[in-house]
Amino acid sequence: MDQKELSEQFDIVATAAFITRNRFQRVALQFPDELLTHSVAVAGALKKEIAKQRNLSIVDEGDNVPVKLFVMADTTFGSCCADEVAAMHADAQCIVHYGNACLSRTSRLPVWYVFGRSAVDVEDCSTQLVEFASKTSKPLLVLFGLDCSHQIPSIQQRISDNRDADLNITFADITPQCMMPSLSNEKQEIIPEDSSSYTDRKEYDLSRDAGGLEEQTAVTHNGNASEVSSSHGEAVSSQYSLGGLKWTVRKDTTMDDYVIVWIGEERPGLTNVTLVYNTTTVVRYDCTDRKMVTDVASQSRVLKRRYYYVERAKDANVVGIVVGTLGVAGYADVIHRVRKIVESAGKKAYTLVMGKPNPAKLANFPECEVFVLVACPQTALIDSREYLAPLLTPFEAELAFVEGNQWTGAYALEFNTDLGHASPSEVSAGTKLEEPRFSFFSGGYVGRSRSATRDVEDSNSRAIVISKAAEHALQLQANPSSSIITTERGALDIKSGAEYLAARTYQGLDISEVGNPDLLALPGRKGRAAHYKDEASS
Amino acid sequence: MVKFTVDELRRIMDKKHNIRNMSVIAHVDHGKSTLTDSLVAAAGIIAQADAGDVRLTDTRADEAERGITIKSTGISLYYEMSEESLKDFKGEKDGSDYLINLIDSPGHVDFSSEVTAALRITDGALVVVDCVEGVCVQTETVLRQALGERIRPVLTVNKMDRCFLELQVDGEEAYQTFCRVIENANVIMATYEDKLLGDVQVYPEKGTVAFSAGLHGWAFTLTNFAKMYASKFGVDEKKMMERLWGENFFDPTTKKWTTKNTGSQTCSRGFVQFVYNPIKQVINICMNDQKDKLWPMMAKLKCSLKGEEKELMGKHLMKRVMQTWLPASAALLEMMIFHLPSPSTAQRYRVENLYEGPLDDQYANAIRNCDPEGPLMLYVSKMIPASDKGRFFAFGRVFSGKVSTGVKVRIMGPNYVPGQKKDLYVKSVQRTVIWMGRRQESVEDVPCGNTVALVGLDQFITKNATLTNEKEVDAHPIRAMKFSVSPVVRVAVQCKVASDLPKLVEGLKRLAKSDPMVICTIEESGEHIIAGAGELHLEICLKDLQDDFMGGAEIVVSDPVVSFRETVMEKSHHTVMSKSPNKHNRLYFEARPLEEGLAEAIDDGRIGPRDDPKVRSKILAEEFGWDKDLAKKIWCFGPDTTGPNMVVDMCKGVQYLNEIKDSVVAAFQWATKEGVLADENMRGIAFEVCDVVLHADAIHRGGGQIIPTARRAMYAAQLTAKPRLLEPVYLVEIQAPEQALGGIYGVLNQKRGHVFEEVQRPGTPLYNIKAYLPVIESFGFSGTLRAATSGQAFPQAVFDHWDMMSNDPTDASTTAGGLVAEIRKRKGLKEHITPLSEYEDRL
Repeated sequence: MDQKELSEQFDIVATAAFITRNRFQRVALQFPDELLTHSVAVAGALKKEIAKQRNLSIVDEGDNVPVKLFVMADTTFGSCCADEVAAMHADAQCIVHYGNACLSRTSRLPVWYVFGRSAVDVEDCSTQLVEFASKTSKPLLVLFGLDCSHQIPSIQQRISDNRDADLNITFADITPQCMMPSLSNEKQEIIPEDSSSYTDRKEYDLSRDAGGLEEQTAVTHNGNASEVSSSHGEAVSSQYSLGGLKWTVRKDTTMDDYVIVWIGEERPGLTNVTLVYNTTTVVRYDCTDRKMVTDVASQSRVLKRRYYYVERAKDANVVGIVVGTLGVAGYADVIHRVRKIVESAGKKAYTLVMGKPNPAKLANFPECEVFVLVACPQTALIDSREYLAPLLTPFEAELAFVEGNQWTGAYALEFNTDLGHASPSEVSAGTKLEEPRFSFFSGGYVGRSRSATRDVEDSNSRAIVISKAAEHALQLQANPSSSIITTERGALDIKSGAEYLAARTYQGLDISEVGNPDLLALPGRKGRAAHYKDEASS
Repeated sequence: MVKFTVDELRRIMDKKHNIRNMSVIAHVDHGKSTLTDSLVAAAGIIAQADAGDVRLTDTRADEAERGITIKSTGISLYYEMSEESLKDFKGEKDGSDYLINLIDSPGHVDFSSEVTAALRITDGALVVVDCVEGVCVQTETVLRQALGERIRPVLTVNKMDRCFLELQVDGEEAYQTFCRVIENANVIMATYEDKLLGDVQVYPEKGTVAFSAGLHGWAFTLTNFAKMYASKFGVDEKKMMERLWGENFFDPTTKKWTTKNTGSQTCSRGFVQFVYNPIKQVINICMNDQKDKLWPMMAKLKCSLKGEEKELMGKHLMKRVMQTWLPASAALLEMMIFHLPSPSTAQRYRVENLYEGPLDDQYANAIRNCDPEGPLMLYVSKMIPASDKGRFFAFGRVFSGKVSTGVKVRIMGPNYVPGQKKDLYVKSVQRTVIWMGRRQESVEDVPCGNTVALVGLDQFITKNATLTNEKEVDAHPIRAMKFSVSPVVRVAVQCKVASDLPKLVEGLKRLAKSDPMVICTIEESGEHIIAGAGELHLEICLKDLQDDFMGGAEIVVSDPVVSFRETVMEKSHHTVMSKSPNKHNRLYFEARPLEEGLAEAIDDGRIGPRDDPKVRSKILAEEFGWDKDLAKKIWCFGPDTTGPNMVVDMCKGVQYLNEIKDSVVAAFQWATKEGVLADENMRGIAFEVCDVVLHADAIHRGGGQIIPTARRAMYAAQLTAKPRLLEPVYLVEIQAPEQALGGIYGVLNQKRGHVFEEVQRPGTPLYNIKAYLPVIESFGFSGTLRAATSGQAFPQAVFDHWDMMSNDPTDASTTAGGLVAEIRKRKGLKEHITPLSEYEDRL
């Protein structure tokens, strides 16, 4: 990749401009694994460009300090999220994020996104779009993968140029590259775009960004239309946003009246669109094959599977809350909220913090019958087939654990999505808790776990049950070779991790040995787990 | 007009010796409901004239339309015995008025769960057999069920009218037919020897067999005729009864009884001479409108018609005359009162079958003695939809104590474990109701020995439950019912309009409640599944769901889905190894098929996780040739810890093995639930843990490392052991005349079925054919069969066994491979079976 190509692909000029303009001195560059090979080249080019731009601009005193760039690799959570925590370790003032992004709002640091540029055949794409639009009776709404966004203005231009027929094609707005944190304590003035710098791309972005920033402070709910009146207060339209894309449709129409055309590859972004607008037809323009893909059958299946997981979660007694992000704004509130609804539903919740979840990691917690993954929208959806217990999104957790919520087909992915739900306090006050609930897994009524207040009354009897279970387990342990495990979760009615442990045949080391006070501290083994130094080589 | 009042009814309810709880059971179309009607007529709920046409117990529109019973319905009848007829009654009694709680049950095999529910709450059964068709499949099935529940049977040979009008058979031939029918029934009953129940076979000469014509509303037992003739011959009734059946012949010319046919023209069998021929004569006279002969005859028989009835002609006249002479209700009800046990008698021996707890505690004693002052023990056997949408009556039987309006009861559900709080609720009864066909009457309380419907508990009971008083915390529940059919036919339902989903969910809940057998579940693909016993059952369920439980919201129903099982044919051709994700642990597995019959033994519960290990290893060693030590090394059964697969530890001296046992078991439960071929349950596979190499640090051999690895190793073992699909197979019984046989064979061949038995019914032109038919081919089978035999063949299908499909499911070009691809597509899995290399690792 030569310098020019590199500069274009990684948007060096604009990035440098952003950094100089805001006078950042410590900047973290976050690369996903597949782009990590370019990180050194990018950092070098960026440094050069910043120096160049500084020389051009009026020199302030503080500007003499050289900008420090940090390359961050192997992100803790999904590579689509800006890793604020890692950046703060380097005391960075802003993050430059490369590659596919979920554009979740961050809580502390501003982020500059570089999406990369995929090859899009503008000519072919616009022709096909026009062709498709003329065949379809419904108006088209064009959404796109972020890596294709650089070509969208050209496509838009071309379509409006040779608009022979009156085609009804709406484009989503181009995403701003700059993201402001939601909790900026110091009201630091951040200048997203320099009005003086002038490239064809920025010209387009300019007006949008001004509005975009304002809206970031306004609450725009995912999937929920918020009415935005234009400055004249005449034309009223509904605004939607999802995964960093924003678009407006006329007030008198809903999303069902549109056909969504997605330009780009099959990415989580597309899955999210099809999930949220599950009643809208979605077609995809494939940039590499240059054709429209209309088969979206697999998408409705995804939604149904999610429904299955929700039903399964209703039967669970022990819930693991997996914290899969420490960056997405509002994550702490969500964890808190999920904990609350899980507990008010009479279930036991355990909070686990872990990096990218995988089957092996979660199988270490077999006591959890279901997990709620608190993460950015693009990593939250995990097909749980390979997992011992399914993973739910916080939205699905609301459906499963809050009394009275029903699966209606409406779906949301981002946090803060208002379900119109009762607050947890109201829920626990509900008297219906006593009534059994119909479970589609047992095919009959199952007892609802008792509410928190009852737990206290029950604690005595529960303790007896636990001790009995422990006793039983110990008996088993005495003769493990001849015992058959009959510990079906359902039969034992396990309600917490402790009870699960009590029901296991093997419960770890014997506690009585640990109590021995005469043990000396000894040096342990050395080496890696694969082959310790004291082990014979095999 | 109703002859009895609720107060009268309530009064008899306290006389536990004067109650008879009984169900009417039979093969489909042998005339249960029609016969029940004529009984009800006696209680005055419907007019006598309508008896035979109304089918009072068929309360649903579709039941009336199809002419079959779908739901069992209870009716309470009041009957007053005459002092004279009671004089020979030896049992305990309390006055001469009787309460008969009668439950009419469906005869179609798809609804036999309804029969099971009915039998649980009754003590006696009236087995109805068509005198021409004889004992059929379903007769046999329900009879076995009844005897299993310790229900005493009496028999009625029904559709006598066919003998006289349709077939016009002569006396001796008819006698032979009846004899055969009774013998066939007795053969089945004889296999159930039960000390407590005593001899359960039926004998006409003892009055436990009746002869009836449900359609015309008349019936008799030999008692009727014996009474008539006893005085004439100057012998006592008992003696007379014996003469009227069996090898007893009478020659009117010599007026001598012999035990052999003397060969003289006038000599004929007692039954023919004194029972069959007189009836035939009366019927013929009526049919020919020979009223001049009729009236004197009627006078002789001491019965007379009322004014306008005398004007009737032909069939109507015959019906009326016969009803007056031999009223069905009198004969049948008296037979029941005489020969079926009262609750107080029956519960003495049924307590062993009923009560789960220790048989010497106060609850067992209360049930045994049918003690109205004892603690309440009530079994709810089914839920009946009430007229206000969404609510249900809990219908059941009080075994001891009293249940009254407003009382607080403990509801013990099917999963209740004594001492725990699971599946246990305390709730008060809003109303107690007695059920009388289409009418329900509220009463203050219902004492033991009676059937009852309860209002206000439906939120807490899915299908059945045991109820006791609030304070009776030590009571064990009453044993759950065992069904003879299983829900093997399944369809996926979804609503046409996506936003109707909450309605569908609610509807499915109600459906699950309303039927003892139907199962509503959800599949991993997110589809709602309804499982039923057969095509007809499902059809009815879907109709109920849409019309009654979802308020008409439209649903989309998939083609029937059949569940398969995955198994293996041979032992794995090599030991497979899988490494844990961290590469520090290696698990070595092999799979092999379980010995023949072992999977069935596990299904039947003969071998299970909760057995005494000694007993288990004895059975395994003696019947299945297991090594005694090996039998002790079973880690668990699965799926759901009771399924017909197992993990066996074959390791020798491996470290830390006990630590990973739980993890391997968890993986096993998971893997056996979702097999490698098509995510179907596994069946008949033993997984052998051959060896394990585990990391020395506990942290590196935790569940996270072992569970996914053990699952992969089991999948690899399955794939290397010649995996096969098992398909469910029906046992089909078809009854048809000879000329229809060709058509039946044709259809069966076309549907991959094969006939293994063909017997001609002695004395009839009918053939009985037994065949195996794959469930997947059975859809539309009845229709095709009917078309191919011009409606002469009537099939009954019951799930029988799992059959291995011989071709290789991993090869997409075979039938099994095609099925696998189809299932995978439906479930949204990848099209091809994951290759072995994904599961097996190399060193």
